Amino acid sequence: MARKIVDAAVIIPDAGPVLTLARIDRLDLFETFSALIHIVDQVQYEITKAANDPDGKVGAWLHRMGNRITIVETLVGFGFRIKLERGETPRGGNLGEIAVDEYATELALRGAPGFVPLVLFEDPDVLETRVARLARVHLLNTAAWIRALADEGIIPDGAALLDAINAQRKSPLMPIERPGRTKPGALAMVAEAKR
Amino acid sequence: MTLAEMLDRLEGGRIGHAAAMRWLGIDSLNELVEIVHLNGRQMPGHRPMPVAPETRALLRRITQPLPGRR
Repeated sequence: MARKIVDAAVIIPDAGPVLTLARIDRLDLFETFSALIHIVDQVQYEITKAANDPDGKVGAWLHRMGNRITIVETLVGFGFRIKLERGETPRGGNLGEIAVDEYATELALRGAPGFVPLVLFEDPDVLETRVARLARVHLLNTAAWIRALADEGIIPDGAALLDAINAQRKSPLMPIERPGRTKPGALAMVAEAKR
Repeated sequence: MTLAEMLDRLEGGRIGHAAAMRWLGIDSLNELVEIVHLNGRQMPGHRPMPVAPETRALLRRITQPLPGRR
């Protein structure tokens, strides 16, 4: 029987989407993805460090998601961990972004030809990185994703979720989201295979 | 007034652009529109900026209802 296979994955290149949903206790929304979620090791560090995950919600979520999330090891993240293990206190700074760039370069050079990445982001700097320029990439910020989920009938309460997120924001002058961007031609993503 | 309340009032037309811009401390209408959109809301009378059909098609293929809500 012919079966449609989508060679697609969700890439979360910054801490924003996870931390935003953790703040409103809706990390379960990531369970709507049937595709794998890719998070680079340095971003994993950022979303689980005590300052960002004081009550361990994100750590528990990662554990709960199991192999539905792939933690992508990068040289950047590896080097950072080595320094931590040596007792040094390296600056995290923009290492998450650099690690994602490293991963995006790997995907661009050696990724599967038909691979379709859906990048779920909040930090607008992501739009300037290589992951945003991958072939067949789709980009959605958290707000656009939630609205799309509601539009598709996957969740019933999109507007309420956005209100809950907005109510938690301390400073509207620091927007960390951009409207979702996408690129055409993505329908070539479906491969037919015989099972 | 929280950001959510302000956005709700703006979207519903209960406050105007000028009041929203004063609340946000900005003086650019473009910036107001960007902030409203960034937060998933609409300017009064505007239609939602749709997610591209290709992206929605992808979402349909890689998304499933939440457990317990099937």
